[in-house]
Amino acid sequence: MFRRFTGEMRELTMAAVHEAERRGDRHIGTEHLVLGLVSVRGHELAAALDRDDVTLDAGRRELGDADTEALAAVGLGAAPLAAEPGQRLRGTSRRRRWWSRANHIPFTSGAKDTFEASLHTALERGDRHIGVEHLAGALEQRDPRDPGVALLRRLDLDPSALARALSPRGHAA
Amino acid sequence: MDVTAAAENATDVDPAVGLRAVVALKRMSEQLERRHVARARRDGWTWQQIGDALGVSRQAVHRKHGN
Repeated sequence: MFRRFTGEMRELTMAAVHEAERRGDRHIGTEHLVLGLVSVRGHELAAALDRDDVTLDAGRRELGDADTEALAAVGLGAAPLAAEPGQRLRGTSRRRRWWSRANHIPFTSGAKDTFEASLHTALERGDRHIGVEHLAGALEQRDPRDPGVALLRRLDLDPSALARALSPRGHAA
Repeated sequence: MDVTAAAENATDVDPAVGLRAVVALKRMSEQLERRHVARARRDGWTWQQIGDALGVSRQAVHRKHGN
């Protein structure tokens, strides 16, 4: 399936892997896919939605704030330690075969389901490659409890508006 | 939000929030472990002593934190 990804989707996925590793998370989830989406299409989304705050920094901050608030909500006032990469990843080369599990932490089943749904979206639209707009379509279908959808909510990004904003324009046939 | 009240009513917390807290704690726990195992090694602790402090075997600690 990954072989059908557009170059940009691969870039998004690598960015998601990087964001998860950077935080020291143990799995790559849909919230990291959202960070990846913002990193590759933040500018376009900002323009389409007339916002100036659809940035990777904003995404990282919201994810960190969500952690802080969650800890406070269960009675722990401590702010989480600053993001630092996990154990396994120290010293590994940054160039890796991105479709291989061997050199990065695994995806959550939610992230895998989102990739599958992206494939279905692409097929439904008769597209041969899986692009960022298909991922947006997949995110639109996720349950509100999904961590990626929750991050979009924190960023004030409505999944449907996002999917519409990312419809392919002048997509080569 | 009143943190004391939140602590007493921890079960009233939205599960998404509570579970996020669990994940954040696990991540922090891993970070603390890495830092303090490294510090212990710099201070001359043996893997056995570190394992004892963590409640795990020497082998487990060495496998996880050794180079």
